[in-house]
Amino acid sequence: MFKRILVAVDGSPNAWEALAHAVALAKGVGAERIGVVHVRPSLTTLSHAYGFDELAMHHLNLARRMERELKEGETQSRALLREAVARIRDAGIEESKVACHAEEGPVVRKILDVVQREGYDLLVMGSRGMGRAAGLLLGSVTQSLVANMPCTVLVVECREHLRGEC
Amino acid sequence: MFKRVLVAVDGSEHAWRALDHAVALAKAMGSETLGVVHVRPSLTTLAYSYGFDGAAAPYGTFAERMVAELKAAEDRSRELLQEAEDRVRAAGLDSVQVVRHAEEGAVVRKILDLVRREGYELLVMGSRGMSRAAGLILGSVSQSLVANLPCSVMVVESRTEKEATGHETAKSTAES
Repeated sequence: MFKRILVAVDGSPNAWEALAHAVALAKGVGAERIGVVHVRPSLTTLSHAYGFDELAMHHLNLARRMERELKEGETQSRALLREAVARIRDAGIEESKVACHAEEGPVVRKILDVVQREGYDLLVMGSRGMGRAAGLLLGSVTQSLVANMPCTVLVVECREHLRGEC
Repeated sequence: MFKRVLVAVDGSEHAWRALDHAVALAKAMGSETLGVVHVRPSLTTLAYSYGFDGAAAPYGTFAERMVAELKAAEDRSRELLQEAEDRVRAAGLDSVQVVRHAEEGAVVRKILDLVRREGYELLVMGSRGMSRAAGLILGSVSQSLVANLPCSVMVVESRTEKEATGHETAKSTAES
């Protein structure tokens, strides 16, 4: 039922909490694999964020900055996945059961691809990640992933005030 | 981690599948309470589905029919919750306390209220329930519950083999 579990991480506290839940679940059901996916921005995503007009200006500075950001993105992604693996290992899961997926590009599309390609049967994620739009219950990435339902999905609720209530 | 788990059932295969997942999860997580909720239609909900014009018609037979339907819905709800508890027990989950919640009224509202009132930490449900709108990945009730996110939510994927062909193919290639 939960043989192959995938957790989406982005460095946000919510994602770490989702990871903790996924690990507890994986241990409880004796999952054969726990995967961690992080999607970093590609050049296209970055260009969108900066706006194409700015890109079209051929500023050497901008090109350098983009290059640096892409490089940093890769380094950060690697560090993030390393931390995730360390957390899973510290929780007592053999490293042979852990898989890392460092992806680059549009977040939702890439996660859906990983689920399908690798045949995950459970996707765990926080209710929202890095985006901090006030009042949003569900982040846009989470919302989009649930709407696409590539497999069974667990959305971990991380609002502090709710936890107090419960 | 999830001490109190709630699963929503409506008699559909999707919901039974969700129940199986909730049981596996409760076992794995050592949950203390497994709630099962079913929401049956109230007079108001029924009146909506018949249309108010129909309800307003002063037919004695019509009123009788509504009363009979409400009564039948109550019986079905009781049987459904009983079956759910039987299934949990049959799965050998003895350590967990099973609580039945028979509710009446607006489905989403009632489930949200219950989660908050009883402090459930995880809500498990099928990706869609009784209604059979073709091509819908996520049913309206599931969608609305996720959007309201009263607590952590697990949506159990329940597309038929045919609908999920791409996914199944990927799985088999991954395993081979």
